[in-house]
This record gives sequence, C-alpha cells and structure tokens, in this order.
Amino acid sequence: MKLFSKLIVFITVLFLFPKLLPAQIFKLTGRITDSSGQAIANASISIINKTSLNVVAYTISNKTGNFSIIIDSVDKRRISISCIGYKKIEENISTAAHKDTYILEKILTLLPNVTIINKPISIQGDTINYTTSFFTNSQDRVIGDVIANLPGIEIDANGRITYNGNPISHYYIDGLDLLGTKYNIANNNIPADIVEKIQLLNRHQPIKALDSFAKGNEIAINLKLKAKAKNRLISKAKLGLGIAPLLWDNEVTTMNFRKNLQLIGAYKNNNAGNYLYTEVDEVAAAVPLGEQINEAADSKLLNLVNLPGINLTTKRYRFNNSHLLHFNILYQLKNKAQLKLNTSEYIDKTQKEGKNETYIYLPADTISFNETYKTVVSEKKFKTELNYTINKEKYYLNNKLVYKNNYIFEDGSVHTSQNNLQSLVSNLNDLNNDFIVTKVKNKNVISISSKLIYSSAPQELDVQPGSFADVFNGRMGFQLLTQKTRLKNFLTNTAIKFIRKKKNFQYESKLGIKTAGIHLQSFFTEPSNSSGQLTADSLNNNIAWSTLNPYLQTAFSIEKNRKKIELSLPTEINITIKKNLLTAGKTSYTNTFFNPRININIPVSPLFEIQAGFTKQTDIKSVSEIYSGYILNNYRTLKQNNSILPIEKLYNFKGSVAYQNPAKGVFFYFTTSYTILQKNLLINTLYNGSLTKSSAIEKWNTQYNLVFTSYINKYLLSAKTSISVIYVGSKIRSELLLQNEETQVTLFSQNLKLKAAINRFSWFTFENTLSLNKTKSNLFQTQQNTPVVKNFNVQNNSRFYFFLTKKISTSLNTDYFYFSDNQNKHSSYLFFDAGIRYKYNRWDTEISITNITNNKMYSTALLKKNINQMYSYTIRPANVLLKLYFSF
Amino acid sequence: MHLFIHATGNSKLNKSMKTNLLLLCTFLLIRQVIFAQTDSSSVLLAKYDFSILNDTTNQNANRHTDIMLLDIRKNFSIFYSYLKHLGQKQSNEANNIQISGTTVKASTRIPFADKESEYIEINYEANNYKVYDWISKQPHYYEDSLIKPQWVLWPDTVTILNVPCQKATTSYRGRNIIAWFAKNIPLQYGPWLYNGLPGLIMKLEDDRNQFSFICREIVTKVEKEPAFVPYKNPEKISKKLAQERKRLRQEDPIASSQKEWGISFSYGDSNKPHKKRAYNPIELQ
Repeated sequence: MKLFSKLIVFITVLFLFPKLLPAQIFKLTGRITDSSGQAIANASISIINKTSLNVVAYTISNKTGNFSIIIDSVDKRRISISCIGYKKIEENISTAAHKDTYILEKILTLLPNVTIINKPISIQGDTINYTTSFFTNSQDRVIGDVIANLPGIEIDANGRITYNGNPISHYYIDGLDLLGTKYNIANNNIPADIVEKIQLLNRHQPIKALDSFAKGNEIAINLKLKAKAKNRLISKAKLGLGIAPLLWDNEVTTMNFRKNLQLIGAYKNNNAGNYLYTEVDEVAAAVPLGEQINEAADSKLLNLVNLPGINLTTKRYRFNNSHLLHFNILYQLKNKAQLKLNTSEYIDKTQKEGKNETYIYLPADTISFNETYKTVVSEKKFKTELNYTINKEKYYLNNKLVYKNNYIFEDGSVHTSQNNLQSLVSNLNDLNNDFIVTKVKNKNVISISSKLIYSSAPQELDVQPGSFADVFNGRMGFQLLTQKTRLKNFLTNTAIKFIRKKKNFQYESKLGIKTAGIHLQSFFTEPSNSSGQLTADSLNNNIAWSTLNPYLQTAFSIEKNRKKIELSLPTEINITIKKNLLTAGKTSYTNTFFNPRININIPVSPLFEIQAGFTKQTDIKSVSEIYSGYILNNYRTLKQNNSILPIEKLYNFKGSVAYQNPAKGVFFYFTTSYTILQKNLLINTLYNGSLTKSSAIEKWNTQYNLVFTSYINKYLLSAKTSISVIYVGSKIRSELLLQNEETQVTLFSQNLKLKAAINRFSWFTFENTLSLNKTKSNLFQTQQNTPVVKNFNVQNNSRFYFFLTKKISTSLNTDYFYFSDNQNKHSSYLFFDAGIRYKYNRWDTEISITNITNNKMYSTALLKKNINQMYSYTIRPANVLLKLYFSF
Repeated sequence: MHLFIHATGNSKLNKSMKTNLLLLCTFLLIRQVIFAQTDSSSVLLAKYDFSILNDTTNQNANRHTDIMLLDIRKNFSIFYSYLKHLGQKQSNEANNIQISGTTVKASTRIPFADKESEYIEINYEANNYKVYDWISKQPHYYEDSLIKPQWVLWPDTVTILNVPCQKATTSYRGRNIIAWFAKNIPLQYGPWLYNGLPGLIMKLEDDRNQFSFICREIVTKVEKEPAFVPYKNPEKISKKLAQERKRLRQEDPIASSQKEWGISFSYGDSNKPHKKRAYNPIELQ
C-alpha cells in the first residue's frame, strides 16, 4: 500500500512537471558512400541548428563509411554531410524517415571560391598592420596621403600625426629611424606605391635595453617597403609653371633604401604660396607635464608687428619665393651602430599685406586702432644634425650634435595715424649636444646623460619715426629709434640614473646637476645723435644670470597585467645669481622645489583604458624677461620688468578614457584637464593709444584652465568610409593688471569638427571637414562688468574627385568661411579650386586653377584675453598652374 | 577508380578486342596517373599568422612570429613555415649562377633563416603524422599516431576573413585551446596537429595567451604550387630524441651546434655559463 501510494505520487509529479522526465536523445547512424557504393571515409557529418545555423554536433565517417552521432533533438535540426571532391548533402532530420545510407555525388569543385589576400588590417600583439594598397585612393601620390586615411589617425596642419589622440613618438622606415622628428620629409616624398604595409607599434620602447623595464605609452609608425623599392635609386621630379603672375613649383627628390643604408634628398622651389619649411621642421611629440625641461631661455626678444598665421592654407595668402634643399642619410656600421646625418637649408622671401583692427578691452575703457601692414620677410635657415647610435639589448648609446642658424631680415611699414617703418634683423645661432649611455646588468639599469646647449641671438630693430618719445627723448618726437639686443645662453645638464626592477615593482633614481649662464645685453642708440652713441644706462640692460641646479628624481612604479601606478618625487635646489653689469649690483636667490607626480593606468580590457594623474611643477621661468632697463619688443610695445625671480607653480589634474578597436575601426577618447597656475609676478600693462608699456610687479596671481577634449572615429572597412567628430572646449580664467587696475578675464572657447571621407566608389571620392568655433571673453572687475566679446566662425572644406577613366580624373575643392561677432561684424568667403589630371605610365600631368572666384581679401578675428584683433589678408589672385610629375 | 571489364559470353577474346582492351587499359592507367596527380595536388592553401611567447614569465616580452602554410591535399596535409621555405627556395635559386658558362654557388645569406625549420605531414587515411626537422648534420623525422582532439562546440560565432566561424574548445597535448572553425569550409583540418572539427580552423589560441594561429589568406584555386622544399634523405628517430634536439637548439644554440655539428663557438666571457634562452613549445604533454 505504501509502495502503491509512492508510485501514485511519482506519476502525478511527472505529469505536473514533465521536464523531470529524462530528455529524449536520438542516435543517428548511417553510412556514406559514393554513387558506386564505395565507402567514403573522413566525410564530415554535422548536425545544424536551423535557426542559428550553428553546428550542434558532428562526427567523421570511419574507414567503412559508417558514422554514429548522438543529438538532443530532431526538431529544427538539419544534417549536413560533406567531403572533398563530393557535392554536399543537407536535409532535415526525421525520426519517421530514417536513412541508412547517404550517397554523395562526385563534383570537381566543392569549396566556396574564397580567395582573400591581404587583410587590410591585421593585429599581432601590440602591432597593427595596415595594407597600404587598401587605404590608397586614386588621388594619393605620397605615403602621407595614405597615412591620413588610416582609421584613428589624424594629421594636423603642421604634419603632426596622432593616433587616437596620442602623438606618435617615432617614425621608422623598414625599422630604421632616418628622419627623427622630421617625418614630414617621408610623408611628403615617399611614393605610396613602394610601401607594402604601414605598421602602428603600440606600447613602443625605442631603446632595446629598456624593453623589459619600461613599456611606455609611446606609439610609433613603421613603413614596410616593398621588395621593388629596395636596393635601387628612386628618383622623382615635378615641374610646375603657371600664371598669374609668372609662377613656378618644382622639385626633384631622390631616395635609396638598403639594408644598411637609407637616403632621402630633395631640392624644391616655388612661388605659388606653398610653405616648404614645414617639411624639415621638427614635429615633436608632446612632452608630459612635469617632464618638460625649460633648458633654453627665449631667444627671440624682438619682433615686428605683423599678420599672424591663420586657419587659411598658406597657398592663398603667401607671396613667396622659396627654396628648400635637404639631405638625410643613415648608415649602419658593422658593429650595428648607426651614423646619421640630416641637413637642410631653407631660403625664402615672402611678402605679406593686410590690415588689422585692434580692440583692447579695459576695465573703464575700450581702446581701438587700425594698422595696415606691408612686410617683406627674407629668411635663411640652416640646420645640420649628426647622430651616432648603438641600440643593443644590453647597451644603448646615443650622441646627437645639432647646429642651427636662422638669419631673418624683416622690413616693412605699418600705417596707423602716421606711416611707421620698421625693420628687424635677427641672426640666431644654436649649438647643442645631447649624449646618453645606458647599460643593463641583470635587472638593473645604469644611465649617464649629458646635455650642452649654447645659443646666441643678436637682434637689431629700427623704428621710424621713433616711438615712446616720453621715455627716450623728453617727449620730443624724433626720427629713428634703434634697439639692439644680444641674448646668450650656455646650459648644461648632467645626470646619472639607476633603474632597478623586481617582478612587478620598479624603482628609479636620477641624480643630476643643471647649470645655466645667461647674458642679456640690450641698448638703444641716442635719438638725437646720428653717430650711434648709446642712451643712458638706465634705459639699457647688461645682466648676467648664473644658475646652479642640483636635483634628485626618485620614482616608483608597480605594473601588473598592464595596470600601472607611477609615483615620481623629484626634488631640486635652485641657486640663482643675478649680476647687473651696469650697476655692479648682485642678487642671489635660493629655492627648493618638490614636484610630486602620480599617474595611474588601468586597462579595463585590451581595448579600453582609463588614465588619471596629478602633477605639481614649480619652476623658475624665463629669467631673461626680468631686466631693469627697457626692451622695445616692437614699435608699440615697451617692456620693463625690474623685479624678483619669476616663479611659477603648476598643479594639474587630468583624466582620460580611451577605446580603440582597430579591427572594427572604432576609436574614441575623452580627456579632461584642470590646471591651476600660480605666478609670483603680475604684469602691469599700460595702454596709451596703440602704445603699450608693461612692467612686472610682485604679486601672486592665479590662472585656472579647464580643457575638455573628445574624439570619436568610425571607419567602415567594407565601405571605405571614415567619420570623425572632434570637440575641444576650454575655459581659462586669469588675473590681469590693466591700467593699474586689477581685473579678471575669462576666455571660453569651443570647437566642434565633423569630418567625413568616402572612398567607396572607384569613380568618385569625397572628403569634407566642417569646423564650428565659438570664442567668448568676459572681463570682470570688482565693481562693474565689462561687455562680453563673442566671436563665431564656421569653416567648411570639401574635396571631390571624379575618376572619369583610369587615366583621367578631375578634382574640385571648395573652402567656405563665415565669421560674425557681437559687434555686428560679419564676413563670408567662398573659394573654388579645380583641377584635371592625366596619368600615363610614369608620367602624371595636372592643371590646377586656384581661387576661381578671384577673392581679393580675407578677414578673420583672433581673440586673446582682453584683446580682439580683426585681420584682413590680401589674397593671391586667381592663377593657373601646369604640373608635370615623373619618376626616373 | 575502377576498371570495368565487360565480360562477354565468349571467353576467348579476338585480336581486335584485345587491342581495344589494351587501349582501354592504357587510357585508364593514364587517367589514373592523372587522377593520382590530381589527388596529390593542393586542394586548398591556408596561411596563418603565427605568434608565440617564448618567455612565459613576461607577457610583455617579444614574441616570435612567422607565417605558416597549411597545404591541404586529398587525405593528407603539410604544415610548414611559409617564410622559411620561401627564403630557402630563393636562396637555392640565387645560389646557382652562371659565370663564363660554369655554374657556381654564390654564398648568399638565406632569408628568414630564423624561422621554423620543422614541418608536419599528416596522413588522415593512415591516421598518423610525421614531423620533420633539420637540426643536426642530417635531417630527421619521427612518426606518431594522430590523436583527434575531443572538441566541445559552443554557440559563439565570429566572422574571420568574411567567413562565418563557430567556437570550439578542447584540452590537447597539455594546453587548453580555443578555436574558431569555418562553418562553410567543411575541411577538418587546421594549423599544426589541430584537426577534427567540421570546418577549417580559422583561428586558434591557448587560454593563457601564449600562442595563436590566425588565418590571413585562403587560396582555393591553386594555380602555382607554393614554395616547399622537403628535406632530402631524413633519418627516422624517436620522438623523444627529436624533442630533446629541438629543446637544446632553442635553449642553447651553441651547445646544440657543438653536439650536433661538432662546431664550437665562443663569444663574450667563455668562463661564464651561457644563459639559456626561453623555450615554450606548443606541445607540453
């Protein structure tokens, strides 16, 4: 009875809870044969879920063609049988119609025609490989054009390359660093069709000896050349001739890439507005806060009042005659050492014409004045760099010797209420040597470094008629004011560094000493005396600064699974002696600075990273800006800063999140930075019409700076389309002393950039960049508010390329600019350029027409603190240029 | 291939029938030879990016990389370093140059000499495999039976090279493996000794991120035979000896050269013992 009751309960439960019943399993058996009955061994038998198309079970037929497979259900299941050389069978499974034998039909081909060669993006560890041919568009000539097309990469107007917001630190060609920071030479000259792959090296450590010690956050680029590009001379040239007036644009480039030797040399000239110097200019990676070393005093004290550089491409407003010659060679010696020489000479004569309306907002007043400029700048820039490097796994040595000479002669007129003539001669010479040797033994590193810098910057400024008559000529007008300055610097920095690593913990200690000798001489020639006699000593400067700066930098870091915490505790003693050689006065200062830094890196996943950090940096800044006499910066700015040593204390908090998925072409980052900058000197600026006098007073003042940057980029690989959104917002609040009254200025700035590039079609490509910029400046005083200054501008650039046939293509470029402010001023401009191109074998011909609408002027505004300046530039007239490109 | 001989009622075959039969046999033999040649030609070539971490104590250490080629033929496959054999082939071609009508050997540096020297032949019909290598004076090989991994299928899917793939895992020869096989390429082959999935293995890695094979190219219409230089006259040795030679070659090349070739090198301070290099073979058990 008891047993019967239990049975009744059991059956009832099973009815109520059918899932408790053992699940049904099905055993599927069968035999695979061909049409003649021959058994087929090693055939694949898969059971597929009809909904998800996933394989849920499978087996392989044995030597006799038999198989046996167990499946959980026949519902929604299909059986698929396949084997090389036979047609695949796929059918529903049914328990009702169970088959014993499956007959496969012979066919010649079975597999889908899957021939995929060269993935456009492949990732191996920390290296991302981009296949160059995939990212090269028909209009691209040089490798710089292709690099700009890569997902996550941005190249700014100066050629600086960033990857997901981080600037690249090194640029290699087949593993060799020929160009250092002058990688624009490679970007502008290496043809795209000789590069097989572009590699992006994340977490790059250029010094092999430090590879296991410090996998930094550096990013490098390496170009992998095709075999056809190696071991031969590659030469190419461009001949360009046009009107109006007579225009030319020529270049000849030669390069050679071998295993132990690399060479790039070029000569270029043009008078079509192109600024050639960017090619050889240093494109430096940003140095993190706290690691910036203020080693050289500002070497250019004097300048001419002139039109500044703007957001318009130089070919529209530069009237130039430029020549550039550069030569770069790297030779790998037998002991794997590398000897490198980079030398360049740039000669240019440029004319600039334009106007300026300046508004200076003061607590109780607004000053405005107009200026019309016509300036000719002749410059000669020579630079040579000799580099010797040994980079081995246990040993690293590098010596870099650099010499630079910049001779600049600027001459022009500034028309205000009267006509002023100004001319400035500058002859800057700079020689520096940088030496470092690093040796690794077991888990320890010892490193010795030594830096020497010598610079000399004589300048002479002539202003006619003479300004600041109240200072120089007892308020009586005079014809000519001549200012001569000479600033000499001699700096050294010698240090020894130890690094010790134990498992995840690393300890670093650097002991060093910096010395500086700065000599500033400036004087004016007596206005009433044409023989060049100097003015009174009180107006002149002859100051010598000597600095002795021993320092100790201690740093600790812990790294585990790429999570890293770094703590740095640098301490330094600064002993500065200032000697006034005119008055025989001497003052000495001693300060001790402690500048801690902390940085935390947390990779949440291999693609997503969070960073946070804090930096404190106290520095002695620009001692050469402190002088008891006067310095005439330009015809309307006179400075006198007779005060104590300038000290700046900086506190910076930063945080960022970054995501990068190169395989899916998704990148984004958000960074925020808050800086508090305290200075012990406040500059008092006194305006008298267009003339400005400034002097420094001892008063601690604070500047607050908040910056927010965001970047989102999506690259659709199959559609070859890239979309980017970049936003930069900032707020800077600083204290000013204007007309002896303290005030605060807050500058808000927002910039939103939208970029799109479509390269999907073989007959058409399209690129567009839209930039919206809003700037606002508030001037506050303790008692009253001053009107806000607001500027708004829009810039849109569109480029269309039409590929009519394989040989012929046309292009259309439009630049649209719009500006308005809250003073009811506005302007808008539209520029059109067009071109037609014909390619035949090694020859490439292009006719381009620039400024088809023949715009004559362009206006824009620059807002800085309490000064708003409206500039108008004379634009190059419409012109036609015929260019012939060829290789030989 | 079957020879069909139609039996006739008259067992004595006349002369013309004999000729026809001879022609038929000749034709079928030729066809068999052709078919056999077709049987041994490549059905599919799959190239893999291979990366392995030798120093397992440091995840950030440099990885050894290579491009491996899986050459799939009917019932057997060959797996080897594409770069190594390409370099060897180029060197062989460059080595024989004509100077004044005489063939001379130019001593050229062999490209990719540091790449993997070992190659594997798997015979699926016989269910065994052979591993060839050249470490000592004579190339060698060892033979072993092919153990099929016991795979567990997962519903996860991913697309690799525009091919839909499904996930499978196994524990095989001392490692936990994650593999992705192509659902529409029904070949049970894969890199190294990994096999037995219902589709071609497109990606494979271990769970400790120490090594990976990632398919970078598939060629189904093989028009030109890939560069493969088989070792001539290899001697058969035991698996244990082969693995010992391999380990010594990787960890201490100097000791290996001394032992296998009788050549001694010395550099640096010869009194100090040489530090062994890191070695992390795929097969741990």
